[in-house]
Amino acid sequence: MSPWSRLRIEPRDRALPPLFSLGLGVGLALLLGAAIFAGLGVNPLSAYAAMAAGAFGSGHALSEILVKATPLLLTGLAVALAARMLLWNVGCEGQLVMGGVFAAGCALFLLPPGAPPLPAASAALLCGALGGAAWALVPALLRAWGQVSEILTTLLLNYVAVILVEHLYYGPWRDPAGFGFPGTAELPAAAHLARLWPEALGRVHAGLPLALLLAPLLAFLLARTRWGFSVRVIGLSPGAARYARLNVPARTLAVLCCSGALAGLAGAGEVLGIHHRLQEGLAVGLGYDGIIVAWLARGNPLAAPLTALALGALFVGADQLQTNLGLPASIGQTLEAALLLGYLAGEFLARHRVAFGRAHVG
Amino acid sequence: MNALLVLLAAALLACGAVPEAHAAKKVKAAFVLLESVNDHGWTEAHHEGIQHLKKTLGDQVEVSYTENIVSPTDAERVMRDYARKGYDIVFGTTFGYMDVMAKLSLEFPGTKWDHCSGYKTTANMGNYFGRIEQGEYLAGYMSGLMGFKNVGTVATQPIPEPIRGINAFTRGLQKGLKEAGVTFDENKVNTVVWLKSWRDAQGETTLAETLAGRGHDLIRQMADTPDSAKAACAMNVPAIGYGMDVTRFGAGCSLVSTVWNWGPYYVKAVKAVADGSWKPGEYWAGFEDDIVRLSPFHASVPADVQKKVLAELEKMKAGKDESFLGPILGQDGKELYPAGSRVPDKDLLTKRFLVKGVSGSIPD
Repeated sequence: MSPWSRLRIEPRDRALPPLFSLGLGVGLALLLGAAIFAGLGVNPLSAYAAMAAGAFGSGHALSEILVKATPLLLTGLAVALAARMLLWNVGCEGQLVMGGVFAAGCALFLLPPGAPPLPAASAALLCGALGGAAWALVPALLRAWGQVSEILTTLLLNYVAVILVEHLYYGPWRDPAGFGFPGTAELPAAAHLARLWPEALGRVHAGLPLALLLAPLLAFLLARTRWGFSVRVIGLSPGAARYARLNVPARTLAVLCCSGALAGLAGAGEVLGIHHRLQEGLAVGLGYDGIIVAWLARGNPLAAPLTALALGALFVGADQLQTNLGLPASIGQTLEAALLLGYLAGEFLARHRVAFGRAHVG
Repeated sequence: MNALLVLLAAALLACGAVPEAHAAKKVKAAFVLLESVNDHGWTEAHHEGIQHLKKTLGDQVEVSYTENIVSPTDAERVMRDYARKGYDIVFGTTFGYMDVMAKLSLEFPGTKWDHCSGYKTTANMGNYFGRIEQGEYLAGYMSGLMGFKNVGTVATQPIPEPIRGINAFTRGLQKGLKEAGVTFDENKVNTVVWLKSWRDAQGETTLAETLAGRGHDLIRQMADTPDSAKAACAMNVPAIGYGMDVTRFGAGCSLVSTVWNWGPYYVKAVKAVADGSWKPGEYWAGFEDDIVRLSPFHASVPADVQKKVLAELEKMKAGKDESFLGPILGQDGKELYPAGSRVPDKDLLTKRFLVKGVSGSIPD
């Protein structure tokens, strides 16, 4: 009898502290990454050094981390909020895209010419949040009153959103002066989100403080209000929630739509703050990355800014692997996946033990 | 946990910054590329040009590139990074980077910017492109001489660049068919369907299979991968390759490919930077400058056809390009450019029209 046949996995009486799973996750990710680098014939230490230098080595790089972290934080918050009610919003990508569509549509067609910047940009941002919420509405209704899995509906609507936005910038919304190249005209300057401090912070725009404000607000809402309490109760025990006569469908609707609005804000921020037009390159996975941001933060809105920054640093740092070491572009995503895998393994091992031999009795 | 993240960051930092190599007089050239360097098409052709540059200029040049930059906002980040690191010249190899590069050229007046396939220039930003449509004209001529009269085209983005290729191919095809004495439907020798993307291997395959299934006798393409040619081969329909010689990537049925040859241009541009003579120009050349080429012909192309096509190629090398020589008729038969006049470059670069013989429309 091989020893493996006696391998058992059993739950721990008490889970190991969160630091364990995070430490193990990061450690495993670094190890996995090192193995990949070694496989590509690059010294892992010099690869990580290049990444660190690329991500933290200059003010420009630091500002680009903040630029990347802004939408990541918002989609991370979106996933974390829904997860509190045990709802899996994997549709942030589509909601982000629709946020961008609504924001651009508002800026291009609704805003009166000559509108002053602050109200114009605020209105466009609000439209973006509405767009994200609207895209989450159908899955929310189906989940609340039809018991249809929101995992499926939110995911599938991502594809619809991408097709819709492509139709718009290839078709009716295409820039008439763009020689047929896909993309809308540039949005009016009044609708652009203000850059905070262009000399020092480059492309960092007003979306960042907004996102940083929303994180503690969400934490407060979930931890300190009746509404937040009811959301957590529903997440922990739907049976108890029904017994307490909480209106589960109404909460489902509200939570999923708010989650969609957060993702919509992320898209609106990208379009109004960075792209300044609707074009290819909006649906680049920031919605899916939000899942990782939320998981690494263990669903805690207060930790999400840090995990969003960490992921942003990973992406910006990974650029250097290409430019300095000539590694393929997919390395950033590979490392991201390793990070999530490592973290999930850590979570699992924090709650379970691996043992050989016979089960303990008593 | 937060402390751990900070620790991680600190640990990464402690690994030390990478020392920047600074050698005197070495030109630092950066390339920002649309797709991966082994995409079997557009970006791989640029990558071969980069390799040619490195080989030719050796230690006179330091080259770096970033691949898979689809979104212009990512391009902005990467290009600004290169400019800040003191790269002398930054090449951007897709149309979509144009506005970003124009903006950055104002922000970094000390950096030279060179943009492939666009139409904007600034005080320190030039552009460059090749007349691949000359090759498409010759490929069309060859196909016409061989009697293909119901061609299917997998087209990419509905902008002037692929449209030039479609029109030139169609005109070459009609010339060949007339010379070969084949009767054909003068309103429909080349049917166009749109991918609305530069690269979409699945879509390329689907469109090529659909065209072949509808009875088109030859599949041509201008997409960034050889997949439409490969799909045609799989259905026993011959194909015309684009960008690189697609027979290198498994499309053995391809009769000929139009091929990019960027290397000499990159060498010229970097040399000009080195000796201080670089100016923001609008470079747009064809066979006469060897920036576009034809691949070797498939064995099934008759020798006399090859001879005729190569004779036409020699004429182009000598500067006699008839691919857009009037009379040029629109799809509806109306004369767009009278006999004897050439379509002006400005119109070729910016106008969107399909010539008589093309079936299909420009999507709006």
